[in-house]
Amino acid sequence: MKIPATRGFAFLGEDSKRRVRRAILKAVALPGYQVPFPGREMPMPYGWGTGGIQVTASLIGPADVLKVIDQGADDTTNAVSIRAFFRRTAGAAVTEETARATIIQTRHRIPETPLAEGQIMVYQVPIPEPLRFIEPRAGETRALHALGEYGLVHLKLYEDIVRHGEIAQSYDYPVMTAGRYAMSPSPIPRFDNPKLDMSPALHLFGAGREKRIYAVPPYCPVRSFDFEDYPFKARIRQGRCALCGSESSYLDEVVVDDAGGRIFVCSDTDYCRSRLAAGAAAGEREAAPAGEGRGRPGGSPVPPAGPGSPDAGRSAPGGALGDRCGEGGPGGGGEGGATGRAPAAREGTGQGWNSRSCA
Amino acid sequence: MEQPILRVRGLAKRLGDVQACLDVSFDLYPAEILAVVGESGSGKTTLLKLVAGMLAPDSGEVLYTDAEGRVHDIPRIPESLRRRLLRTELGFVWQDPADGLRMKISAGGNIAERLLAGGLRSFARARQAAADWLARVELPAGRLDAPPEEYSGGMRARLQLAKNLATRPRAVFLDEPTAGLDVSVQARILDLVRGLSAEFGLAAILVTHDLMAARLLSQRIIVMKDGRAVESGLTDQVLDDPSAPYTQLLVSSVLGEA
Repeated sequence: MKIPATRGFAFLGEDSKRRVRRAILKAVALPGYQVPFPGREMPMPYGWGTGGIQVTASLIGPADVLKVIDQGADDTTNAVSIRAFFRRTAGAAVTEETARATIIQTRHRIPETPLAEGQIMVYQVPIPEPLRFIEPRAGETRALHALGEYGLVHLKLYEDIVRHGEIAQSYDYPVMTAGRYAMSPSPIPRFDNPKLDMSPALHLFGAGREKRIYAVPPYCPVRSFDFEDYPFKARIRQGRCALCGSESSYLDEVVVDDAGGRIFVCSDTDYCRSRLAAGAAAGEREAAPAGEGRGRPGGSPVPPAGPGSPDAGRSAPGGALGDRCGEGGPGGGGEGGATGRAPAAREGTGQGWNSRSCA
Repeated sequence: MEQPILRVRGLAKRLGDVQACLDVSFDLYPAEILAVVGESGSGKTTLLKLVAGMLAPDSGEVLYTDAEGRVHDIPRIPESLRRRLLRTELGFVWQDPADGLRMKISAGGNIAERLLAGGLRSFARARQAAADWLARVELPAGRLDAPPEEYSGGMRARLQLAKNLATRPRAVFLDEPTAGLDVSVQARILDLVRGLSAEFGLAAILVTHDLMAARLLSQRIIVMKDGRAVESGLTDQVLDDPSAPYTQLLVSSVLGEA
């Protein structure tokens, strides 16, 4: 796609990008520390991801593949717009597949598909200061960070338990990064907090309104704050996706009719779709309720279904994940190898969802 | 005689054109309550903030001997250490409880804050300690989870005491703890401070313009005027037989005592 001549590559001027990169380098060197950066006005309102967009703009190059998710979905307004923005301003290749992406800009989720080395997560952060909710004075919070005094984070958790009987903070749950800085992981659900810990990917957080950048470098320990007698629990809600049957992914509640009917579906649309594709390939067409729930965009890059094996059918679609050997049910283990579908998401590594090494 | 836990020497501070504090020296002994009296603008609160390390003096030293016997010159130690002392071994009770409390955090949370800052990581123990201290300052147990913004003035003053005492400090700095409270509430709070001081061997510097409060609580007294200590000594002696002209004026101005 032709890049408009009136703007530089990826919208920002080279000098602006250099300054953002400088902030990013400092942030990577000081995990969890909020580095100020000269934020620019972006052609969108604050709160729509101006911080994340500036980080992405200063990172993206011609060889990058960009994925943008909002509420876990690739097909929501914000995600579609930001993707279109970088297609237009940087001619960037875009994808919805987690494993193919080199840069993933996100608002609310970390993808279910495990991240790999070399991938960069870019978060759109509304409030970068984890102590803000209890200490409104910015000078004081900076002093608290400098001195590593984080009793206030526990005070917040204390208040939560007093009011709700448990730690009710379900998103933006504060973490300790590399044992030094308390950090707000932006509004990701606390379900995703453990994914930050020792993640092989680089995580960059950009707050546009407050002009702060902070980072979790690869393989950095990230611990969620908690009490001895109220340990951190990632999972709040147990359930199963109504579409793909996953029991391990983060679910969104979707109202499906006017009679109060609702279903729970994976919030990570790419993950759900790839599982459905794998399930369909494994001969589970009846278990894939395509007509039910919300529609997926038709033009999504679902890999063509390979030769399905009827024997591999399982009662629980969740089994299609096949990431645990021998749990495939009767007859499932053997054929699993033969029917192993490698969604495009996994083509690069040559691993199918049904691990061939099990055979 | 025991060693003083606080030795203040030659403290001076200029605030703009005003010499808010000049050449003030005194000692504070364990379990002793020292009153600082004087009219508004005489430098009482400035002196308290200098001693607590909240203001940097132009000259002079504040030597605090900690629980392990180490001596710290409060204005010159690193900020991290000063802050740690101020939330563990020392306490500061503000004139307006809104400055010393988090008004939207529950009373229990306010008390627990210093314990959590000190590394307590058990919710149950933090809550138990908060409940204990609430009872000690004679606040109803049912108000443990109510935020101070729903408290009356007298209750806030008590809560601020509890918050500061939760870490069993060795000395507290009280800045007009009874200001703005009605007389019966004042009396009960002063009584509470005296009881706690006796029970825990707590030393205190009480800044007040209320001579009755000073007489009731303190063993020794410093009278300030224009930033200087014009007279100091045993409270009863100074108030009954003042030698400095200003102290005589102050004592004779007390309503109903002339």
